[in-house]
Amino acid sequence: MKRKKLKDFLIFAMFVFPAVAFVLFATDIPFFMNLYYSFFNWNGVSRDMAFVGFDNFIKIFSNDGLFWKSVQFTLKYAVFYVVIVNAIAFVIALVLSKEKKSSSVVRAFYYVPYIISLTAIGLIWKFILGPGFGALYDMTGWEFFDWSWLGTGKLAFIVVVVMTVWQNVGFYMVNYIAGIVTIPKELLEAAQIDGATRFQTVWKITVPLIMPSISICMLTALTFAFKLFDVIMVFTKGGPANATMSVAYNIYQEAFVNGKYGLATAKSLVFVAFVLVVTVIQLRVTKGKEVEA
Amino acid sequence: MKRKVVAVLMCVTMVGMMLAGCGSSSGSTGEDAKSDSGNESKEEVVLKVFDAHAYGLEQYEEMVQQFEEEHSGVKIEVQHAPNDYDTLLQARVNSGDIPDVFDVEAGTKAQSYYEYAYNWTDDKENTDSFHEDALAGGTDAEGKIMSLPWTYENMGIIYNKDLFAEAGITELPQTMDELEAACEKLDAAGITAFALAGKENWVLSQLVTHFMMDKSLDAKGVVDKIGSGELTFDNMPNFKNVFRFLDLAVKYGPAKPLEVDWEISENMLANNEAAMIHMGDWCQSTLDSFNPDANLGFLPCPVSDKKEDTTLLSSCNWTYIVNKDSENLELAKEYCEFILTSDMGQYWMCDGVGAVPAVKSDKEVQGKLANDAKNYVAEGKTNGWIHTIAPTGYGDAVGPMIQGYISGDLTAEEVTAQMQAFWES
Repeated sequence: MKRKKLKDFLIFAMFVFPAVAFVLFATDIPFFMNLYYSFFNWNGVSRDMAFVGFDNFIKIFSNDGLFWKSVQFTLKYAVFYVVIVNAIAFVIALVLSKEKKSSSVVRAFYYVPYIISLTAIGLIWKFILGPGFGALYDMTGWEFFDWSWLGTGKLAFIVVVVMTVWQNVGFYMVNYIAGIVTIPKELLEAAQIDGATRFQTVWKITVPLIMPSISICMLTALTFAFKLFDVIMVFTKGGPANATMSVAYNIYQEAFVNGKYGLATAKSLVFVAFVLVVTVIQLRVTKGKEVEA
Repeated sequence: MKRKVVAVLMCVTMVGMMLAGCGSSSGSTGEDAKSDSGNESKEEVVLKVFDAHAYGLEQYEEMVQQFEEEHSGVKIEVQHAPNDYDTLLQARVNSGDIPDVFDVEAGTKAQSYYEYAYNWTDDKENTDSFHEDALAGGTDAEGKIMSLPWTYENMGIIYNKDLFAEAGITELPQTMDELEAACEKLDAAGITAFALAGKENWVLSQLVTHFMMDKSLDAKGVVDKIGSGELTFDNMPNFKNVFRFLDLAVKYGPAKPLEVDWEISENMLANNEAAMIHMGDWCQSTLDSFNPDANLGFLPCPVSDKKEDTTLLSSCNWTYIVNKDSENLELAKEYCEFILTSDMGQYWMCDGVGAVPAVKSDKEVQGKLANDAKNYVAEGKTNGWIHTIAPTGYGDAVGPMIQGYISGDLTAEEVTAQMQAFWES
């Protein structure tokens, strides 16, 4: 009996330990170093660091308008992004999960933006919003095309949402399709025979049965939204007038542009705590709704 | 049983490999530290160089080759980092991989690296070969020379001579009123007067410094006085004119001012689509690539009603630091001197980059703008840079404020108050 336990443990360790070690070196240890730095006043270069206790945290909560503005932006963005990307991906997945010859080709189309490099995507959208919209305005005369999309705070927000949804929708779509194809056909047929409408079948059968997919997609979308950085870095640089300043970009700027490494690490910790709470709540809510067929 | 043994073995090897990976890297740094006298050993010596820009790369390559030929057994390992140099350099310094020779922007930025820098103060022979004002940019609080200057960089308004002629402007505008008149003339001739890069925080924040300048104090005096509270953005004589300037730039500029990035800005100027931009002579090679025949020149920025107030801001922005703890300190010093003062180095700066070297030199400079600026420098019409000695984060704090003004979200008074608040924080 004892031997079996030991054996189980060893097999367990064999699979888990290497991964744990990597996570430890790449994430956990830096995290604790972060914690350490957050109590210091350090410019990120010097050998000397001055211990300042909780000063950095006090500064964040008392006198950092830009950080809270970026929190506001990130929250607003997260709501829009999570809802829109999941809704669209789900609808597309419903349509494309039908076995048709064309559907695999169309799936590929939706997935392509997800694998293009971000720099190329930046260029594509620069073109769409610049010469692309310009030409459309000349053709149609619609005011809509002549707006300064990247030069106005509110419009730039919309651009960031649309662009990231467009880029990532394929990923969520694949997840949803994977969930939908596992639903037993009998259930859907039974519902049809009972006279359920198309909408009723989706709402009462498909949605409850793919709840695991939904909770995973929600979680990835939420963490993506909270970590929003690369698109901002490549595309808007937080502008115009800080209208698209995400928390991650603000932290980056604080650390590497303003040279306040300690303050930046403190900010990142505040945000980690916040994200942790939100994701735990989100997981609880969606997990509670999972059912079995 | 057999399986268990295999499992244990695999575990051990995996862990072992990981530890070995960490161990070997730390071991090698230990060895490096020991082999101090790299010069005498027969083995190849590698000099690590970090170059924070990528100007005149071909000439740089030739320069490296010559140095390697003159010093057998020496290998120069250059990292050019035109984007995000600061982040990269910081990462290297923090991980203990400090380059032997590296350059940073003079001023506040450079000062944070001075604790790693070799002190040149006693190397009279070398430092005497530089222009005195250029050397001053590389000194610490006590006046010790901690870094060596590269080239002069000048910024102001760059204008298109052909378009000015086309609009019938014969005399360059020197006051705000004359600038407005020039804009009207250009407009009447159907020419876009301005292509200010409103998207770029750095361009906007640099533009603002013209209106902060006080000729009697120069850059350092102005920054000191703002710091001590003697000078505020409210009582600066010319500061309110920045808003008049911006109004002109928006009125006589492209329809979407905040979407104009530096590339569009420079492109429009070089291809005769806009008459003026705010930029420095560092963009010479980009302008040449857009249109080598563009007829461009510097226009000192009008900031008030007085002709003598116009400013062209000039500074040796990039400054080279030699790591004082370098294993090959002598070689690193030699390389730094080589690229900044030798004939080959001057060839790189004058021909490759097209800029005026900080070292005293008779060589002809290729860049048209740099030559243009030379005249103003000779007439004593230039001042130093404010934005590099301002509090850190100046560009990314001020740029968005100006964008706010351009988009109409902030009033002139609000921007003025925010500028003051930024400085005081």
